[in-house]
Amino acid sequence: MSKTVPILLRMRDVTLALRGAHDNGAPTLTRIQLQKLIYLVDVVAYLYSILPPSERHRTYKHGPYDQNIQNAVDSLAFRGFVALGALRQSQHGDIATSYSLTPAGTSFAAMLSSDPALALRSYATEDVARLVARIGWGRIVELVYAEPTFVAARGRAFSQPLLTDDVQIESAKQLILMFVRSVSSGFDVPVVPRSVIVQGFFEYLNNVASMSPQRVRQSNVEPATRT
Amino acid sequence: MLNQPHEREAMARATRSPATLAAVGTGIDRDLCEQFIRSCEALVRANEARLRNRQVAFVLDATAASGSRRLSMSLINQCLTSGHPRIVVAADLSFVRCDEAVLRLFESQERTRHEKSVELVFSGTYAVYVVAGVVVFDADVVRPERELPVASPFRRPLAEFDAILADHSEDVLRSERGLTYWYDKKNRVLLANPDKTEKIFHRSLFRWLDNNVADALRVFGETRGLGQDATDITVVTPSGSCAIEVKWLGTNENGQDCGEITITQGLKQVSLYLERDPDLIGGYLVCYDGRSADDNREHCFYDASVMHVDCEHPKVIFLESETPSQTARRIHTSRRKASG
Repeated sequence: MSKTVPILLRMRDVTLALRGAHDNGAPTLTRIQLQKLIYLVDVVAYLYSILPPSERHRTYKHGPYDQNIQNAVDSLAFRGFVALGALRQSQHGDIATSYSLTPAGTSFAAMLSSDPALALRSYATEDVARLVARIGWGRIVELVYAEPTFVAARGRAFSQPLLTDDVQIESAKQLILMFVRSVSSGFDVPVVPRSVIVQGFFEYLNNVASMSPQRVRQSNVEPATRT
Repeated sequence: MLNQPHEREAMARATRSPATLAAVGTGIDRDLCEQFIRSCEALVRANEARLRNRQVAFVLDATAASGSRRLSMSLINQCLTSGHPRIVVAADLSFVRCDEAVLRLFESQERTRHEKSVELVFSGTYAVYVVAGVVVFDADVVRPERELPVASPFRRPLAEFDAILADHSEDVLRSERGLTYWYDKKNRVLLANPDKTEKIFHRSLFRWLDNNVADALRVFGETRGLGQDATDITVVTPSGSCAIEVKWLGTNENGQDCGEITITQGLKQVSLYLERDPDLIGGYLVCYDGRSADDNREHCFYDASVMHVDCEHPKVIFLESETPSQTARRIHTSRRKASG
């Protein structure tokens, strides 16, 4: 496969992600938020009959990361589809910025989602963006840090591919199958609706994020008083 | 998978969510189910004093459009006074109609199974959530903390099933501490009313497992006719589901007799569940023994050839009806009589 194909596919994903975020109360996304939103869409993509990306997110400094996404957003910005917010430097010397769609980017997004071949990806992105918005865009990193594939892989090694749909390892797909088996037990139903599965999965992520011992400790620490 | 306690708790909360289960069982949109459940709970909370111990059931009609006539306490009163305690509403509590109905759990399960519907049956502020024939949740909506198993000393994994049963026997069954089951204690006759004898033990064990199995993602009980096709209790854990069949031995107030053969019959039932349901990874048979102590010692044989390979040996729990001093007195008297 040509090296440009994964980037072209990620250009589609970035455009749909920025549109989904915009429609659900986040007009701009930071670099980390964009990575995380696309990761979450990839995690549930198989439920929408979408094939996984050819190159997966990998474990990195701030959670799952895919270099192709960064290349894609840079490429979209260069072509005038994505606008960059103010550049700023973090304490650690990293350059931080935020991304949003330009009017041309918005038209491009509309064109992509009207294409029947891409409609499923568009639905998946829209659903994930809506669920993240309900929980809060500020908590998207926590949600990703609660995702079981990343939880299992993060301690092992740096730059490990995150195979979220591999049922042979501790993965999101394994957890989702467990969820489906559990909620359908006792009912005479042939299938569990996709929307219920996706909502249940995000409820799990939100519960883990809220109940993790680290977060509980943080919420128990009183803020320092200024003198 | 789910190695940390907070991950298991998170999964259990997600899988026990009444709105999720209502959506799965009925096929209605989850957000509509959530809106319906929250609205009913809020209405009952706001009218706690006026509702007192009256019984009312709310049923969701997902096809009904939002109307101008919202459900209020006065409308509920009108329905109750006219003998129509089953109130059908839209998700936002717009009134659709009210029906004449019996609000016992059995009827509610039959109705919802037939209609594939969700029904919240309130007795005062205490609610039972019934979805397509299955009780998915029950709690007091005003004081839910009353039911919370906060730091229960009895929490154990399902793998320690014997210890779970021992805890249940000690804390609930012994001396009828938490459950009345004797009709005539002296003559060892079990109760059969208002529920069937089997249901008395079934509900108690179900509640105990629901509160105390540490690795349970979900516990559900098939409390209807307890027929051949419905497992009594199913416990879903991360490693798979287990079926639990509840039986009783002895005589009940209706004169019904259940002897040794009941154990083999129970084992056959468990085998049938395990063969039919590929999700089941284990089965248990629990028999509550209301016969005499001698029968309990000498007549607990069963046909092991009918046991499924994944089924544990049956657990026969003797129901005490005497205090230790009464037992000592009885043995002493019988020995004196025997010695002439």
